[in-house]
Amino acid sequence: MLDLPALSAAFALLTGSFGPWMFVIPGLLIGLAAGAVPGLQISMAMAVFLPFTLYMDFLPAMLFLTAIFTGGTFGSGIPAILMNIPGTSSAIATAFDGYPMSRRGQHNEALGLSLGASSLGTAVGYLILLFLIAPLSTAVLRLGPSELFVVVLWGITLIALLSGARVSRGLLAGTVGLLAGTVGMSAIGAVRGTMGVPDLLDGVPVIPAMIGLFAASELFSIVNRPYLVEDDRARRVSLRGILSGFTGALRYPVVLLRGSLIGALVGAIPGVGSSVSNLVSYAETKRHDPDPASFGRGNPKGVVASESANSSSEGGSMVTLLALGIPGGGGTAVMLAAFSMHNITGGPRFIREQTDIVYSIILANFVQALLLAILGLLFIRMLSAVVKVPIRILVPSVLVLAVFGAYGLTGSMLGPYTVVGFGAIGWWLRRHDYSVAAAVVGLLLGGMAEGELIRTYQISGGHLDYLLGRPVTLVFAGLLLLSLVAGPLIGHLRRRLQARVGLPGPGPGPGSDA
Amino acid sequence: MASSSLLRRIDWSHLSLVSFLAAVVVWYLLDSIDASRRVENLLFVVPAAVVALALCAWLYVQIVRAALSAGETRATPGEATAPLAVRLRPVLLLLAFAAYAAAIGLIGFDVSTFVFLLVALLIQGERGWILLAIYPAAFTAVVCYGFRSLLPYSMPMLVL
Repeated sequence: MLDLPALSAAFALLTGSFGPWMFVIPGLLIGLAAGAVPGLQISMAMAVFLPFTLYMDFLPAMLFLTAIFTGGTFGSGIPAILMNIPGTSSAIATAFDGYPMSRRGQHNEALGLSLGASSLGTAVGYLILLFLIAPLSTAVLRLGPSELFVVVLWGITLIALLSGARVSRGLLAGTVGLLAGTVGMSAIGAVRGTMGVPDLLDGVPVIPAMIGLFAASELFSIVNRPYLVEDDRARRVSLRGILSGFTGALRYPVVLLRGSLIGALVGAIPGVGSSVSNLVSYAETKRHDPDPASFGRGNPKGVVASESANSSSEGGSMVTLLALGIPGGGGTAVMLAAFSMHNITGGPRFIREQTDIVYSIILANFVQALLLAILGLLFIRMLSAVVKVPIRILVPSVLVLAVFGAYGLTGSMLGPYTVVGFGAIGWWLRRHDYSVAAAVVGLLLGGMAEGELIRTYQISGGHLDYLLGRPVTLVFAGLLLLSLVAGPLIGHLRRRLQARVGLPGPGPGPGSDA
Repeated sequence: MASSSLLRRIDWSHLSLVSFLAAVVVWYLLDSIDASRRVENLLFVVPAAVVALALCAWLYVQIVRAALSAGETRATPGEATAPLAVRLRPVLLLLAFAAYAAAIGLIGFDVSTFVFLLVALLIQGERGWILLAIYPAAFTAVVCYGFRSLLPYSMPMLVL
């Protein structure tokens, strides 16, 4: 289950020099700040800072991005607790009991509980990943091109079905994304969709497009909410109260463990992730509790259930990224882009050949969980103030950073133009409830999907009966069809689940950040 | 009379989005066929385009059905009550952003960034002259110097 030589090599990599750790603390702080500002998505912060990883080695780059992910998941709970405004959709259930605790003057305890549960949840999620990654990669190595093609389609279908509210809109966004991912020179040397622009021969610049779709479009969407977080009822934050809450999280080991397991499992399903896991964990904790009526009125277990689940989802979502090379949502899509920036292809071969790097990422995340606890305690007061930054200053500043970052990535004006174009399309898609995450993942995987389909065609000689001898392909194809049928049903169940745990809670978060 | 009422209830913004996506897909399909008719070139593009166009057709039906089943007024309360200037803000900012990207090649990163920040603050309703005077200049200087020292290739600048 564990490759011990690779594990010891990972220890050596992480303890040999300070290099890999240099960007972990800045990453955690960026994530904490981004998560703490309602309306900003974690994937957006990751996309904006992605160009900086161009100048890092692969391991520090991954640690930087996972640190933003980890910090952001906890950060999103801060405004949920203090103001009843979840920073992202992963903290919706945190607000259900966190905000009532704040109203009772227990905001410090609630913040501490959230921090404790987040730190432990992150650690449990990565512990599961540590033990599962090797056997999973062995199994995945047996997959051929036909299986990988169907898995890509299945993943995008799940993201399209589950991360947006409307099935047909999510599917259209994913399909158009897939087509956009095939722009440029095809496998046989035909040039498609370049409009005569030579820079497009290698395809649409994926990272500037991702910055546009995730970051710029989100910023245009929040322009009219300048005073959303301008809450004058500033609350005093006390370290003693937070510490008491932090240790208090350990008083609910069953809730913590159940939340962490649910988070890791749900997080591994593409398109679902932390935005659903927090609700499932909350509902399960409420269902098993002897006093379910106390939920929604400031029950600390509600905060622990939600935060442990959304934090452990990160480890779960890394399973599909590392084992299959398929991102499960926005955050891991950005990480996949970092893979390609460093000429690394995620998937089973990467795990087998670079096991030490994979283990390093996992081990470093245990330390990140500890650092999150320390930084959270130190910076929580400042982070509470971050939510008061006027959006009118934030929006143009981040747009400028996006333009500079895109220019840095492409070395030409194609980068900024791509950010503008995809930012406009993303904003238009968001306005009508289309899944931007599905479009991004489609864009990332379009080339791979086409490549695997062509390989299948070449191996089979164009005979469909070849597929009858590939039972795994048929199983995945069956799952794909089942998802298409069951997708609307799952959406309905999710809305019912939200309504069941909902109480008079906050509105939906600013979108899925799975 | 009934048809003009139906036209008023149609979500034109959504209809335009679906039409835009359908047009892009059709154009890409034709361009791909034009590039090469070999199976390997069209094996993925044609089925994906057909699926996308079928979804567009389904969404057209949904938009019309929504218009038929909607009441006389379709606008959401929030949209209806917000002043026009506020409703236009995202569009204005988007246009300013596009103009900013287009202007970089002409007037450099420094001047275009300064002007964009100033215009964006004004679009978003900022009227404090101290902030308008200091923030765009300070942020432009920090970002321009920061990125110029980071990037290995030259960045067009006019002043800095």
